[in-house]
Amino acid sequence: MKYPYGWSKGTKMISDCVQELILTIHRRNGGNLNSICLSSRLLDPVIGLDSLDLAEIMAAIEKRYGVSPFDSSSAPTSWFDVIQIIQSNTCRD
Amino acid sequence: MNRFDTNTWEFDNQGISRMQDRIRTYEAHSATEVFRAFDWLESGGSAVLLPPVSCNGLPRKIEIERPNQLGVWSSGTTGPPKLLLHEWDAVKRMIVIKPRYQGETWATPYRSDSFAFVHLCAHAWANLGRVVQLAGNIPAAWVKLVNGSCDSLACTPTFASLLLLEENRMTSSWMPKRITLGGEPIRESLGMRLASRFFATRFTSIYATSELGLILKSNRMDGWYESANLSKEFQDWRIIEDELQVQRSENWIATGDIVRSNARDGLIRIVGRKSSLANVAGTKVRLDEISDLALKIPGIMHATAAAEQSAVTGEIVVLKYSLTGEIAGEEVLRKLVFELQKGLPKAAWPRRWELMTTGLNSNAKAKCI
Repeated sequence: MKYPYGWSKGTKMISDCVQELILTIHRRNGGNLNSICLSSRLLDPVIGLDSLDLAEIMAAIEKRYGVSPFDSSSAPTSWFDVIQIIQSNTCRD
Repeated sequence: MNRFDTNTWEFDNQGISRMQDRIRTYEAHSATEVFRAFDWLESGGSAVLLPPVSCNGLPRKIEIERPNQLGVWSSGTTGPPKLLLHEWDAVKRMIVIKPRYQGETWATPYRSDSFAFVHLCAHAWANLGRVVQLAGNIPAAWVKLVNGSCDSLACTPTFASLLLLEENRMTSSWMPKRITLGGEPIRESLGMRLASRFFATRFTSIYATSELGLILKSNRMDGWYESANLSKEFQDWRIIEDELQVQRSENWIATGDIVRSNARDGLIRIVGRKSSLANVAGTKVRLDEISDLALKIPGIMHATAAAEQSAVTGEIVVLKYSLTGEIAGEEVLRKLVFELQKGLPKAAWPRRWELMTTGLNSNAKAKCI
């Protein structure tokens, strides 16, 4: 797995966790990807999620990290944004 | 206009038979058909809108006792579909006719047999406008919004949120005159984002039900409504055990919605559905049905489905369960997830699973902790 340059170990762990959540649902929907491009839009057709799947992932993120990305002032449009929001909120704590 | 004592018709094997001249049925598969129904209503007749899919599941005999009624079927998610009748005059009172609304094209993803769609059509019909139906596919919806010269949009907050997620260079120039939001409470964070993106758009947030019609509307984008507006639609209103009740024709009607009131500022907000229902992206989900299904899984001792706030879909379903201990927990959860996802529509799938430990309360009765 390649990470953007400069990412800390903590951010890489967040990325891995988010990827796992996405891929679990992606495969449940019949997909066969092994990894997700982090710059992908949240509802990128290649990933094959709908709003209900997205809600499930966000609920899992909120339970694990105590962060609700969609309640931030600027909602995420890509999975990279989601990871950044989680990272910035968990570091603040 | 004649007064009818009883008007009935029966569904025959081929379709619908029209037994009375003054009652007509229309298949609500498009705004055009709904407009035709309105024309008929305006002439003094009664009209019933039929779901665009097959008529299976609808009762075979219906009665309309009063003239000039509009019949819309409930969704059937909270019991068998039932015909909900609205006085045509009452429907027209919900419509605002203004020169600046004339000829507008409205876009909406609402199902064509839903009260929300019918309400929108009534507004467009009265203002000589038209309605464009959007599919659930967001990129395709954007194409229609931009290329279809759509002036205004009526949708749920979840749909609007998904539109923002799928914005691109082509869509960024679209600035509708109006956006009307309904079907679920609007979250303040989303309201702010929508107001920021569509800075020149006039927003209206609507709270309505199939049974009661329009209950509240507001131009606020923070999820609050002016409670004074309740008095325009109903004789009186009250909050009993956090549930909003309204009075019509001397009868008190429970809305099934839990509300919070800010008496000082004269505001009210919808918090969610009463415990038996969840509102997931505008779809009503029966929580007791989910709990009942979960209890049938071997190894499950207790199971309770509950609604939880979601920033994406308004609410999601959470299933809290406890185990008998006879079967390994992982195996039980696997079976539980599989059976519920197989047996329920997608909106009703639990999105979070919470294992509870069964203990004893102070009265030595079992409880989940």
